[in-house]
Amino acid sequence: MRHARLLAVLVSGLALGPATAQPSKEDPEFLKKSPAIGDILPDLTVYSADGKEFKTSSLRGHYTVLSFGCLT
Amino acid sequence: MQFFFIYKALAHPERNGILQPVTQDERLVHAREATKRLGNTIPFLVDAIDNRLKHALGDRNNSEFIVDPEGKIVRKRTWSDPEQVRKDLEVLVGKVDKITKPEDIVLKVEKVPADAAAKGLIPKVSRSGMSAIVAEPQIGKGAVFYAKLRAEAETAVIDEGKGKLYLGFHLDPFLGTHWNNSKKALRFELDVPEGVKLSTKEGEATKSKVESDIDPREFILAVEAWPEGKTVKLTVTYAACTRDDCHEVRQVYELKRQRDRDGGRAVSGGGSRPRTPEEAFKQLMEGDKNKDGKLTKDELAAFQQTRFAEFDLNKDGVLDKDEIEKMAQKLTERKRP
Repeated sequence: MRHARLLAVLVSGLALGPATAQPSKEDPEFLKKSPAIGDILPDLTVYSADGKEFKTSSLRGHYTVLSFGCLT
Repeated sequence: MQFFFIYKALAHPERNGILQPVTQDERLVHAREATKRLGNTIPFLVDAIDNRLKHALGDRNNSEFIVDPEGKIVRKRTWSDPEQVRKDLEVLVGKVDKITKPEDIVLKVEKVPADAAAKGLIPKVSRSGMSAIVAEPQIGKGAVFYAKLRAEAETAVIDEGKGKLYLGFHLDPFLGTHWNNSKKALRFELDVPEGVKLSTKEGEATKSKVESDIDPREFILAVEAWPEGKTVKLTVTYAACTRDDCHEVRQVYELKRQRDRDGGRAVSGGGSRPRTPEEAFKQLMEGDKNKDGKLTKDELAAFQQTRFAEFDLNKDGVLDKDEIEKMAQKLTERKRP
């Protein structure tokens, strides 16, 4: 059930996405530039919102959905 | 199963007055503000200020990835698609008992608080056909960028070193300051290396007639020559004021004749995205430099140039009134609710 709730919020998170019309087609440049399906997620240090360092390798152990967005 | 939003560089700086952060701390403030405004329970991971995660994952504004427990990427797409994510997860993890629909969700979207200081007094400068160029702030200890420089240039500047350059100093709403018009106006100076020729090497902002305001201080310069690889140093001085106090600030940026891949696309002229085809038509026609009522590819904003062929329906190399109207219509269509 937690799963369903989280997914619902993910849907709500669309507000974070761009307000411009979104093409439904995949962008070939993105497909080429981003890691291939089957590649390991690059291990990089980013931050949690409270400012603590967060290594992307620590996401292992679960299925993880990562969705890019910003305030505008 | 875990979900994360990745908070990245702004896709559309200046929307609602929100500016591209300069420091890591500022980006963290943005992510926390996003949570406050949306009330989302999915946590944010905040990209580093050098945009390393965005770059490593294909450099898109709203892309999405599913990673398996071993750390392997098993799904990716250019644009987030929640419905498709659900389908993917049903295959990868299993079905859920109850699917929550978007209409079941009550979003906690707060209105942006009204600004106390006046705005809209100084006419905005047109930035038609311009893209963000690299402007690296020189960040000293304890420096606070109350005003942030937005540097944009015409494609011709980026490609050939000739054309118009936009310099805009925008107050960061998260830092809560205004321009006090009884103080000295904002000034900038450019330290120009040999070979670079600009219409001016300095500028002083126009003050508005009221005591205080928050309008951006904007300048358009003509670039006569800017050889590739040359860096122009910009020094700006201004007073950023609160009701009680003014901070006298001197800041330095290094400008490069180079497109800023993380700069996002500012709302043209600081206005809002056109809502109606009429507004979009008006914005497009601002690019009509020779006033012939038609638009060539060069007269379109840089981000629209890639779509020129799509709108040049009769393939004659120019967009006539009918084609521009159709383009304006298309630009204001929304594919999703």
